Amino acid sequence: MAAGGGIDPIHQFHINPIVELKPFGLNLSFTNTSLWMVIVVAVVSAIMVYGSSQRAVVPGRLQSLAEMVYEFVASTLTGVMNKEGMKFFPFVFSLFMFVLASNLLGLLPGSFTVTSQIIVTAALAVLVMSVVLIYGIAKHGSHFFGLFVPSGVPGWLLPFVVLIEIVSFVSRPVSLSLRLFGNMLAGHIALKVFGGFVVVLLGSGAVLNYAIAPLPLLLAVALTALEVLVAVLQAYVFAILTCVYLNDALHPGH
Amino acid sequence: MSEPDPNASDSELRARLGSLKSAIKRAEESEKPGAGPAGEDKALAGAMSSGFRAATDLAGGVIAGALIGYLGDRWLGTSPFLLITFMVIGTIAGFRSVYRLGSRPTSGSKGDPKRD
Repeated sequence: MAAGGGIDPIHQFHINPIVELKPFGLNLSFTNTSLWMVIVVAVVSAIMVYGSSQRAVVPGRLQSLAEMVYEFVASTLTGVMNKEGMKFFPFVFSLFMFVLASNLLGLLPGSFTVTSQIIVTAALAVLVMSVVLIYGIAKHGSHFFGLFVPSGVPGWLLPFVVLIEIVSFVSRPVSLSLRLFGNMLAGHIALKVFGGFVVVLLGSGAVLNYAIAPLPLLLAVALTALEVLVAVLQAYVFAILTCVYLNDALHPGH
Repeated sequence: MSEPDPNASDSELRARLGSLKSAIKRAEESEKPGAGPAGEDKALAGAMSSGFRAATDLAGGVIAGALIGYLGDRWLGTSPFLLITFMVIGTIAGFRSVYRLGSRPTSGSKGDPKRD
């Protein structure tokens, strides 16, 4: 009876192919993840294109939404990197909107959360770090590797510190992807588990269980509110950390 | 047509100049980093993002160190040694990132206090 009723909190993360595509032994199937990524991009594009096509002096709802998001990302960007960071605006804005939209759309019942797949968040993090590396090396050449050599370290300690700095640099994409993935996964599992408690308690038949069944329901409602906060916050954290790492590419001198 | 009247009074011109100046000042202030209308919300978001960062930077360091050590072991065939070494280094790197995160606000204001 316990954990019965076919409630599996992990089942929501299952990837199943919609269109099987296996050319040359590569698995390139169009899965539910791909479908939801397309939906996310379509929703973001629709909001931004419609919002920016109005150009009214007094903005309507969608236009003011688009303008608010633009100003928010722009102020985050200039807060970390000053004016010269605005050249990265398209990149950071796209990342922010993609993560935000997939987090929020994932909260709709029956939808699929793209960012709860570690491969998606890892790909985003690797993309960020590739931009940092390529831009840093293209702009500063070998001077970019001064990032790994902090100033004012005694000579005998230097190899050790450089090793730590390199591992620290490698750990950035790991923690960047893990943070988003972990928060999304944990939140959705917690929601499913508390929802499952309600069903199990109501299905058990004991009168006492009917009495305590509303408690997990209340908690699930509260958790949903928390999840909305976490969804927005994680997108913000992802964007601001992208800015911090890009700032290293702009100014590699510690 | 909308050209200002050349015979407009001096005080009117001065008032327009004053309002323009104050508008420019307002725009400049809003473009300064760290200034925003949603100060409290942003402070909360900043605090929570620092918390999330600290937690995962710590774990990220260990995981990245373990990953490097494991791959290095598989490449060089030195089974447990690189894994152990790089896990220790990764832990130190994780602590170092958290330390740097905590000491950053003061490091921006004066000099260069990083000399560990």
